[in-house]
Amino acid sequence: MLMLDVKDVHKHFGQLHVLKGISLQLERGETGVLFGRSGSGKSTLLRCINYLESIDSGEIYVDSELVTPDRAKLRKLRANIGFVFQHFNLFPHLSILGNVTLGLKVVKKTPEDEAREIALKALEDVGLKEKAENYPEELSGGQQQRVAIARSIAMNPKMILFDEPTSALDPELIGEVLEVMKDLSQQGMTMLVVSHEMGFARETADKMFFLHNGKLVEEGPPSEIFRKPKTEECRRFIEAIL
Amino acid sequence: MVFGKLSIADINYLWRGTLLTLRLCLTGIGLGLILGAIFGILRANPRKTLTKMIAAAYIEFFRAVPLMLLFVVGYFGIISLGYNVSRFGAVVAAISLYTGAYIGQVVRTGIESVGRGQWEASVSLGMSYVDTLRYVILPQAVKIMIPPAIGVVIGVVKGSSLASVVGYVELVLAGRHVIQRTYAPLLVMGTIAMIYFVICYPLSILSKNLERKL
Amino acid sequence: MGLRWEVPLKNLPYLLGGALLTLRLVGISVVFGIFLGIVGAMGRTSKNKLFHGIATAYVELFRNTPFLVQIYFAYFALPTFNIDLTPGQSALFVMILNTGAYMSEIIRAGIEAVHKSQVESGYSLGMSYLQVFRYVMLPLAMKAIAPPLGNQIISMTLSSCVISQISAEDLTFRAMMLENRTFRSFEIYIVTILIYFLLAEFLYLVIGYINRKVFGISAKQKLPTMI
Ligand SMILES: Nc1ncnc2c1ncn2[C@@H]1O[C@H](COP(=O)(O)OP(=O)(O)OP(=O)(O)O)[C@@H](O)[C@H]1O
Ligand SMILES: [Mg+2]
Repeated sequence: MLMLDVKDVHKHFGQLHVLKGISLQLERGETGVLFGRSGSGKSTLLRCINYLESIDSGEIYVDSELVTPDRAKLRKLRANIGFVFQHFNLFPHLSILGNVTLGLKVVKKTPEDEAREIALKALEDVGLKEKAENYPEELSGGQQQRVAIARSIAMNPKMILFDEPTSALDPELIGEVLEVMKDLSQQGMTMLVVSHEMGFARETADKMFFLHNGKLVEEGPPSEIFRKPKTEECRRFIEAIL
Repeated sequence: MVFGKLSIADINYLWRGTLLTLRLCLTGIGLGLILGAIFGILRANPRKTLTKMIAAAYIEFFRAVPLMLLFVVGYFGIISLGYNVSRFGAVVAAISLYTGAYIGQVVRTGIESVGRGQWEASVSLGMSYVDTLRYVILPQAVKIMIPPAIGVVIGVVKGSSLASVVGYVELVLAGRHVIQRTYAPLLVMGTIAMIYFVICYPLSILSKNLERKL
Repeated sequence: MGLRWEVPLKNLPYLLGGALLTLRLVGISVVFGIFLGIVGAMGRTSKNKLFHGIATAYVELFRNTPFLVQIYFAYFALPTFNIDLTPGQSALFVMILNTGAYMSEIIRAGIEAVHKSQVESGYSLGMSYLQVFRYVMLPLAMKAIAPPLGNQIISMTLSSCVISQISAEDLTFRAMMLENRTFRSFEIYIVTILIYFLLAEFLYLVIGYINRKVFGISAKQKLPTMI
């Protein structure tokens, strides 16, 4: 069962051709790691899947649903896709619990008590139940990112997209976030992760995708990608970051 | 004798003028806040809607014309067309529209100063534009809006003096009446200036302090 | 009752002449106001208590009282001291003082926008004081000063209509003269308001252009300022 099906997607920013015909698939429960040089279009691809950016041509299906600009459909779709940002984007005026329950209450119209229960469970999953009453600014970067993940999980999504979730973190905080993501992956969540954490990719990814200048030039299981990359660019890139 | 003297009756008259100034300001600010909130929110819409364009035209127009002439058109102008308007009605309408435009700009700037990440995080949860504004953007934007909004309030208090031009007896016109009776322009105008100062100066300090805390 | 737009339109040259008078008064008060503002800003940043106190009193008094009251004060109260000015002189006098007070704050904020570390990094590159001033302090300060200064010019253009209340001749005064002759208040003042509007939009364009080309500032929004 395909969870994510990206078909020949093109995207321009003005004159700049950022995505040049990307096709990529993820099965339900798979974890994909997307990597490549800065500016290669990784964030743009992720954002297109959630329609934070429009696409010029091609099609994207999430669980067989076409990603369209139709607003009502889009809201439903987005409620079913988690998105974890590089800079967390927690809501600073809401408590941790408020952050995790907001989507439930506003989008899913979940009653207060039930929303609270679901949120506490999600916070427990990321190991932050005791911080429920704190505010984002009182948490470390790693903790904030775990809250952002809990905010996504609480919505019970079909898939979660991660855009460089650890690259804004101090090195000693990266581990705790990757640990949470690994757990999620093992519990069967479908995930597409933009990351250059090669240790995480090796242990967790089912598939890896190497994006270069807006094209998907290489894809395969980590064993293949790390052992014998097919293209020179990919080989050099992996060497540079390992 | 440079200063002259004021009788109790004169002081009472000035006091009444002060109260009428305050009444005019509070009404204008109240209605202006409502107009400003509505048009500011419409103006901040990232999509080019008709309402956005109307809001933009309203805000840009009233911020580029003199308040005094709005009073003049709103009262003398309308009367010259043969319609009956009350002074207070005309003056309140003009000051509200004017205040609304300035507040509208404050609201718009406040909304736009909340980072894009907050929109994206909300929208990614499946929230609608209106829900995002209501639960995520506005609660954060209000804090940013307060210092410049206080600046607008100060402007309205000072600008309300222009209602005297169309014969609305607020503080300044009350003062001119007292000058006619007492021939003490220095004392009366000095007193009036001090009354405005006592209202405006604390507000400007407050605005500055709140801004520093942001 | 029909509208008679031909009344203001036939007298458009007369009104536009008034607009030039307004612009001239604003121009003069901005030039002198900037000089006054420099002195005021020096006072506001001075360690000399007396100078600081006088500058602060001046700035805060003018910023926290209505322009109309300031105009009336000059017109009605100054004669008490045997200072007799024509309406035009009173008006210009107050316009300069008022502009000077706002300019003081704008220039002070501009000076404070230059951070010590930026000056020090200039010196650490081996620059002389003059070079640091020319290449570091001045451009940084000007960048902070230019946008609010432009807004101030526009605010004064719009507020200056108040001087007609003491019979100083400007656009609004001419509109009043026309009204006295014709009694077509509505048409005349609508046209007058539109002239002010076009004047303000024209200034926004010019100032925006200067800000972009000279100071490299893309001032997207007009800040609300009310005198
Ligand atoms: N909103 C935008 N408008 C114009 N150009 C954009 C926009 N967003 C991204 N770009 C450009 O598109 C290209 C791809 O950007 P993208 O953010 O997808 O790269 P990335 O692979 O995520 O890089 P990084 O590793 O630095 O995050 C870049 O050249 C970028 O400058
Ligand atoms: Mg990126």
